[in-house]
Amino acid sequence: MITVLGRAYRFALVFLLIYLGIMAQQVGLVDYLSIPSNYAYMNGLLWEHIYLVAVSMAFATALGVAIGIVLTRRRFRKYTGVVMYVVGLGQTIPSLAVLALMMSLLGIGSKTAIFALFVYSVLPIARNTLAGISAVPPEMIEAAKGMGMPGWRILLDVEIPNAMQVMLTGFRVPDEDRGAFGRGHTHNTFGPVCRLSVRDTHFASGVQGTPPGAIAGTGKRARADFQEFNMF
Amino acid sequence: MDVWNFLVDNWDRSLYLTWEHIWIVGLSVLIATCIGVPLGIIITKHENLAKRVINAANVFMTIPSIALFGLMLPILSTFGQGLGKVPAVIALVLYSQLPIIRNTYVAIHNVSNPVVNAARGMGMTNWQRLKEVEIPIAVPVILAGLRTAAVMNIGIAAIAAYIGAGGLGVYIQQGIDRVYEAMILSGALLVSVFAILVDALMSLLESAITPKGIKIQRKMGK
Repeated sequence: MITVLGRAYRFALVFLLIYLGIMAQQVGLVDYLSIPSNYAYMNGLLWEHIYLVAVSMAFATALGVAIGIVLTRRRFRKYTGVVMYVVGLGQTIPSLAVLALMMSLLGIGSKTAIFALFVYSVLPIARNTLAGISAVPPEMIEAAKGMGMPGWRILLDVEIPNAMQVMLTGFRVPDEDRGAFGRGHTHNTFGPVCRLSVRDTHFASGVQGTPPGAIAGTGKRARADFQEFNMF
Repeated sequence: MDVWNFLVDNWDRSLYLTWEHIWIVGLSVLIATCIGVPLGIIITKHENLAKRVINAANVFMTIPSIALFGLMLPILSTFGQGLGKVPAVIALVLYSQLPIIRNTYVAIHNVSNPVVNAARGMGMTNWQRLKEVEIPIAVPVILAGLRTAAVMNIGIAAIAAYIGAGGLGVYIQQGIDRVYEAMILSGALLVSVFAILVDALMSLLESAITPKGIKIQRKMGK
């Protein structure tokens, strides 16, 4: 039964790949990708994307790890609930809303995108740092104390190395989704290509049966975006 | 203040968009629950499937939402549903799978062995054991998964305004286009309040539905 399922799964994967390939040809993706002059544009967007994610992650790591470490110190342990709630609120608020709210304060541009990404990444990093450090067995810390280590050396040599694996999971989780999303109006990352392909798809495949308003809307959007991007 | 005036002037449209948002998120969470919870239960009985299913759900989670909309568009447009509510709901269902399946799986997996064995010793059938013992014990964690999924879906549904799904994202999207700050802000505020409200309500529901025994156990643990 399981082997049959496994075979069906593999078959479905192959079928999906073929279907996607055909789709890519029909939709005009292959044509789009085979024009070399598009590469420079896409390359630029890729680097911008990497830049946004890297900068925001650097800030978020600094703050998140700091929060995690401070909250595991004995003196601050009682504030854990409050602080984590506030940090968690940042994650509850939808990303589009964070961008929109920040746009009126920070204006349009990479600053807003970086801020939104930052807000989103702090929670997983802080939470995992907290979880990782509090999961270090107390015997180990006792032993380190017995060896005469001062507090900061216990942190650097015992707690953090032991917590590393859990902490790293926290880094992996956050940014992928939002990166693409800091796109569009706030900054021209991969967003425009994506949006553009939405528009192109329409005209390329002559989609029928979708609400005409929506099509017109998307077309207009894409064009408006372009004007916007040219302005910046 | 502008925001307040905007909302007062457009209360009927705001109400409609909020309703649309609730509708999209509610429907998708409902469908996702109907798929995810049974799947999560099934994979606790077939361990070798568990990894594969959770990995597959993980893959969907990794794809950025805006990219997923773009990827689904050519595929769904063969059925004439490339834009609008259908792709939005499908995307939301796909995104909700990971938290729901994972939480269900972990929750049922972690029901302590002695409890399960006691149930078995009392002569319960597999089905009874699931219904009377495992699910009640697992329910708080499963609900936590639903809560994560619902809050996340509210955010993604706002993005779905870009593919014409409607909902409160429309205010943000149109506001940006018209450089109309009050519109952007009121959209953002409504979505945020909605998300925070749902989060709070689900956490209330979670504590209401947690069996008494587990609450006592938790207190003892502290």
